[in-house]
Amino acid sequence: MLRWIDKRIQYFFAAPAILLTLVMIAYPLFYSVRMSFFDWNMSAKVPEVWVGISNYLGLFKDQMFLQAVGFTVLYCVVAVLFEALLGISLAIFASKLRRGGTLIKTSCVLPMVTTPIVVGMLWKMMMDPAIGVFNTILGAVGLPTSLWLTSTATVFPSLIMISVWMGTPMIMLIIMGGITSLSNECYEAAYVDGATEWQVVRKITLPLLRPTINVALILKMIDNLKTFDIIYSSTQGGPQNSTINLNYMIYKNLFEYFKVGKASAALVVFLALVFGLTLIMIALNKRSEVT
Amino acid sequence: MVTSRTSKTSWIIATVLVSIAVLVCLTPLIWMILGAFKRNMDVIDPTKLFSLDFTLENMRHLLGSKDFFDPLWNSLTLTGGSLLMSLAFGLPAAYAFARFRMRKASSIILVIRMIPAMTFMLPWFIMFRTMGIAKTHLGLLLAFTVSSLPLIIWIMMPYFQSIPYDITESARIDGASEAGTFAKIILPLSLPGIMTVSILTVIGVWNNFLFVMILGGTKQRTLPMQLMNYIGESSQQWGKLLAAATVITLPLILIAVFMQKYIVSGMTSGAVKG
Repeated sequence: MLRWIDKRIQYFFAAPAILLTLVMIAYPLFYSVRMSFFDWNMSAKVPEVWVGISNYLGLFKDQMFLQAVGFTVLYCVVAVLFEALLGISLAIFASKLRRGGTLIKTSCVLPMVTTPIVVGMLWKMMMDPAIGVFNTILGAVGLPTSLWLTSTATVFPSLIMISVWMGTPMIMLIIMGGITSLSNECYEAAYVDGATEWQVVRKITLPLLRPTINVALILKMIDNLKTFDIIYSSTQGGPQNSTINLNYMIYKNLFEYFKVGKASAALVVFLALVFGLTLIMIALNKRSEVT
Repeated sequence: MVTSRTSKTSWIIATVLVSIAVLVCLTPLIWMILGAFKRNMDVIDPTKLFSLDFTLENMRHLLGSKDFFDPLWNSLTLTGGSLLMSLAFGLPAAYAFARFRMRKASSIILVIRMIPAMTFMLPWFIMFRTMGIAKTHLGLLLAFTVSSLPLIIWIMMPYFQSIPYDITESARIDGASEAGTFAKIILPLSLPGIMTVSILTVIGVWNNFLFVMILGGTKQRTLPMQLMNYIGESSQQWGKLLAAATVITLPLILIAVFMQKYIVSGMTSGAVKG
């Protein structure tokens, strides 16, 4: 008996995880898609009612949803852009330093691992318009102070700052890892041919890093699309609902308004958005490899 | 060495910029820790930004209160429990996928990693209620395990694959069973990888907020959840909030300082393989 099991050990090893995944991931996915065609207020007494695609049609007339889609995409694009620019350039600069590698890596790891709820709270405190550190320092050196997270005019760049603080280190670390793995031969050849440092970065380092950069961007893009905790602990979607992203909008519709159908339809759109954007990034990646 | 070609000017620019970046990374956390040991009035006093009139008042108050101690205990037990469960499910599965070349597995895992966790909240909530494990530690453990599995399998699969086949083959010739080979030879060889996935799992569970907020009850409150409660109750008591934030962050700081290489290798291996 034991030997019979041992010969088929791969199935016994894989089965628990596969079973767990089927029950806890595949079924909920199916459930969410199904509920997007129903109307239900989460009450056990009132059963769900089939409404066809009217949840989807309703979404496209819903101001909050349209704003959430816009915010999600804009936030993701701007955040990833800044994180990529900063992360890549800092990684290249860091690779020029012979010492301090451990200090740099540890400092990078810290913002990545700090609890997002704590990060949101810390930045909200530092950005407090009345007693926050930022305005204190700005005031002390004679610069105009800002309303930071509390005004619709400044909340977007303020949130981006938080995201950049949390997200840049990961890109920087991945690229630093990529740079260490590059071989030195092509560099030597370039320097022998009299290339300048800047030329070497532009013509050799960056093209060789292309696949690594792409992966880092895709990972960061997915993270930024799914942002929830830092918004919850810093703005709670405010001021005037201006920072509600798709994830937050779905949360509110599920657990505050109990509109399961609408939330599920929004979830399906959200899933499509995440998958769609990722596939586009992967496709761009492949095309750049071919050319 | 690439660096040997660095000119003096670019070395200076690099040093300045990277130093600024390091400072920017550290400053909010330093501000948090300093604030945790300041008197409540001093935290918000701009003239005392860097002065430190050291007090343990906040910490003593916090650690003495039951409404902080219970969440601390919950965070510790849930993190430990989820880690054990995730490894128990994840390591054998990763080995099976790697050893028996179930190639589709890795693309399925990549897809699962892309799904927003919000998708599972309502279905899990309802499933747990039906199973009678709503608002229990067990329900949360299950949720954390499922959410940690993809990363564990993702990182461990290539790790197991990189172990030379000869090693397992010679063990089997000596009469060891498949399961025995896995436990006695493969796992000890994979310790660095197991460290990496363990650390990433611990960080993920310790920091989790959404699952606890939606699937947990008052008895499952963890530290991030309790911090949100404090923010709601006493948003003006910055000393207390920063003390709580410091306690939550302390284990993470220790991990970052002493086990930085595992975190970095976990991230890079995921990125390079992707």
